[in-house]
Amino acid sequence: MLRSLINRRTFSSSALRLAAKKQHDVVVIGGGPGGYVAAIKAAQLGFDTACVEKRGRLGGTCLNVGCIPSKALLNNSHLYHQMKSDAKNRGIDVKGSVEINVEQFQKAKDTVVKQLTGGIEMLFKKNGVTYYNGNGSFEGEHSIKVTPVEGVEGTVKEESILEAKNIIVATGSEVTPFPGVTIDEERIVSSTGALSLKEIPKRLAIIGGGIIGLEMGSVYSRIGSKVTVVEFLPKIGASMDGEVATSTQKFLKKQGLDFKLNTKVISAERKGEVVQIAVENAKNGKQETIEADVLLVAIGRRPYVQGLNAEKIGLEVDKKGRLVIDENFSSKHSHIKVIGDVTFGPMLAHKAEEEGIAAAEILKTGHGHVNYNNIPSVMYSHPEVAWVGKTEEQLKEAGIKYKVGKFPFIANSRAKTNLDTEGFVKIIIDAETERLLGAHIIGPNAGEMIAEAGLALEYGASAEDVSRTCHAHPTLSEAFKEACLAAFDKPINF
Amino acid sequence: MLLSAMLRLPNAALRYRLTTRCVHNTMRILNAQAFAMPAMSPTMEKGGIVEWKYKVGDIFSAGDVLLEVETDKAQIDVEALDDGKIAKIIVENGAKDIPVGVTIAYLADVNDDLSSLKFPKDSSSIAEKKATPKQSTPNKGTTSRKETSRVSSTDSEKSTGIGSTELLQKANTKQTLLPSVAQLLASRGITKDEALEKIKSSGKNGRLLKGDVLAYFGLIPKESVVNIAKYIKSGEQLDLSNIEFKKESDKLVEQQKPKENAKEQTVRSEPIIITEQIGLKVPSNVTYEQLSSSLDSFLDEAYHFTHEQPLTNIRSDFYDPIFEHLVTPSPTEARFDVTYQLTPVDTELNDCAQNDIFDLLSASNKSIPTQRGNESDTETSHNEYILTVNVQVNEKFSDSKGKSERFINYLKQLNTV
Ligand SMILES: Cc1cc2nc3c(=O)[nH]c(=O)nc-3n(C[C@H](O)[C@H](O)[C@H](O)COP(=O)(O)OP(=O)(O)OC[C@H]3O[C@@H](n4cnc5c(N)ncnc54)[C@H](O)[C@@H]3O)c2cc1C
Repeated sequence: MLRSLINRRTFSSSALRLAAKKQHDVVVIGGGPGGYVAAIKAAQLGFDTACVEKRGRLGGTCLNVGCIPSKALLNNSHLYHQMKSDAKNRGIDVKGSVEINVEQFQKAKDTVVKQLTGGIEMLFKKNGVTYYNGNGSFEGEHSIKVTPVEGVEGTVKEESILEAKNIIVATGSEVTPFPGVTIDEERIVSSTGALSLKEIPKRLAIIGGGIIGLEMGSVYSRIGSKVTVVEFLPKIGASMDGEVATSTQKFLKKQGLDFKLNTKVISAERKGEVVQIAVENAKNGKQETIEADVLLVAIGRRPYVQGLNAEKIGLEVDKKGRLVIDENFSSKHSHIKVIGDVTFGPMLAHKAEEEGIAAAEILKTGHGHVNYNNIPSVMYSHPEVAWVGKTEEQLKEAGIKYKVGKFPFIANSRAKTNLDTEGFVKIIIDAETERLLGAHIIGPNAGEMIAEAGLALEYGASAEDVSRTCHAHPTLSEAFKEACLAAFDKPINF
Repeated sequence: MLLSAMLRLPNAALRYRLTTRCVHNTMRILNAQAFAMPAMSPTMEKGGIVEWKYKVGDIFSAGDVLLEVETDKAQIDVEALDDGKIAKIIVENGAKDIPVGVTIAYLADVNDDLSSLKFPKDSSSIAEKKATPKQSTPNKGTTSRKETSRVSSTDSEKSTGIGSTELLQKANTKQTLLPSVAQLLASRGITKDEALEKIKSSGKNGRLLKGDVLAYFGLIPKESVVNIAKYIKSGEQLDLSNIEFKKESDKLVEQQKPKENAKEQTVRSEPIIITEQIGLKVPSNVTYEQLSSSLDSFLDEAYHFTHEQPLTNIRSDFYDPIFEHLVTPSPTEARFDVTYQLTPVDTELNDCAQNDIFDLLSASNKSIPTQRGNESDTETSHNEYILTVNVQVNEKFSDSKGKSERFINYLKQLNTV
């Protein structure tokens, strides 16, 4: 009886969903440096903004398992190493022994991570960004489904749908697995596992001589591991200037890291408590087996889109798995922007942040800009290596005539006072206009000093402009000034 | 206003020209000032003219919108910062893809007599731009269009070659000079004002760079400024050329590979949906909204109850809560998805929803029953509803179907018809 009556009268409002619907002007998927910065900026520009993050903590790769924890380990291992090997020279006698307490060593790092990720939550509150602790996936071009994530503390209680006028995708990247090598995060680890080893491996082997590999190698080498780096290419340091890469390798070698360049990993297998790595020299075909207690696979990172359901709305992906964008960060739908590691460009936290700001600004004003000529890279080894702008190799390839100015830290008074004189500043300028094209620094605090080069590049400064700017004495930054002087004229102190 | 920020550049240029004009007012022969297609953003390379807001001979004042320019991103008003007069319009309404820097009009001072005005030669006129696509130059047919070559070509400076107009701009007059530039100018006895008027800049926002000055003094070849500016500009954007799209076939191969997060990858087949219809008999003083909101919370209760309680018999000897906890996926993972429809049904007793509010008012002394109180008085008038519940089972978990069924059973408690 009832059935016959059903269709007679239906309320238009009768189709109700259990899943709650919420509306926002901007929904950001991913709470890493790209996503959280975009969310805060969008909120500051007056958008009703939400950010969806599934990790349970904000800050993404960078704060949780990347930049921040790695730098905590680097800094503390450096202190330990100095106390152990250098204190005596400097007139500091340590009574009793200097030891690493692995548990506390890791805890110090975890505390920093907790404080910083918690800090972002505070920033969200302060700026009025709604935070959904759950997985975000596309339901439609304007709707994002948020689902609870198993095992994550504080995850949303139930599924909900977010209706969004604009969407910013910042889902980041994940470790690229090495074909045929299974990562168990115990003996065969990714950078994530390497950041929280429970004991110091006697022998650490690393596949990949890029920045992440060399940083982790530095940490464990300082606290006692015998480190072997296997790299397929003839040079380490990824996109580093060639000369800088060679010098860096020399310094690291002096510190005890062993390098096998031009070497291909054939297989790696855990055998009980050791890992056996079969390698082959790409030049002469010679094979050997390396044995290690821990193997770190650090051959790079790849874009991460799992669980995003990007296929549903047909977002395009290139061969390397990057979400395809145009120069305004737009996917094929102009209201859906993509930024950070999951799309094109260098996989760096500050690059993701810049894009986050630009994307939010584009949504507001139609304009936003990132200068990809001017994105610095830093390797936090000791000495640090930092660079921005063009390398000699790039300029040669483009057929640009250039001049180089170099200044060694051995001739810098502050470096000498600190008994920390390894490295140099190398400045590359256009041969005619003397406009600064690139700066490459190996040396103490190179990462801080590279900011000066960035400013100079941004303003189109010539080497002369930098050298006519007063630099405090005695500081390491005088080496930067002198290198600029050397590039277009002559240095004073060398 | 947002646009005013972007307009600083062209406006500054505009003002500069006009005030220079004032200074030269005493000259016998008056020169009209070329007005170039402004760069409305640092990345803008060309633009279209949507509409001139003034005709030739019209006088405009500072702040007036002179014209509307269109870029690939937006339409933007171009305002005048100073008073003036339109002397001649070179590029007419509707023209597209005019490179930045190309003269689009001539402006004069408010008191200038247009008939005695001289139009400077301008090399940046559109006819000369190789880069410009077919774009028809509106030929006004009046004055001779021979006057071609740039305002600044009155001084010794010669055009530096292809593409230079986009890379070389009029220097920003408000800038602080770089130390190298100040030094060079001082050594040659040239004032800042003079330099900013005469030397074109290759820096961002009209900043004068050392190379610009070196080239101006003939100390380096002029091409070198343009060449390096061009090279630098090419690297400012991400290289998004030649993107190789992933093909469908690649995707399939990828999917077949086992992945860490295989769980998230389960291929969806036809979803299992359980549908249940439940009849509800509700006192008519309960409104549709009241009913649906209490239904919402009841469904929510049912949803959580079914998720939290294990399916296994808790009283069984075999039940071990710790083991159960280990083997059961987290209760926070959704086992099913619920949607429902609440459809009112007309009955003879009570025919119209419009009556509801009346009933509610007349029955206001009675307590409003909840949906569980339905069984009580049958004397009062009732509305009947059909509740259609659709449960989509999440096949990722083995206990999803069982939990979905329990959910339905839980709901059946409501059946009152
Ligand atoms: C060991 C290591 C050291 C590093 N050191 C440095 C360094 O010193 N300097 C530097 O600049 N860079 C460094 N990086 C790189 C840096 O971490 C990344 O470039 C940066 O984190 C990228 O930011 P992002 O916002 O694009 O992505 P991510 O930081 O990866 O953030 C993406 C976030 O989105 C979340 N997410 C993904 N999909 C979804 C979804 N569907 N729903 C909800 N949330 C989702 C993820 O959980 C993640 O938290 C390092 C990386 C590693 C691994």
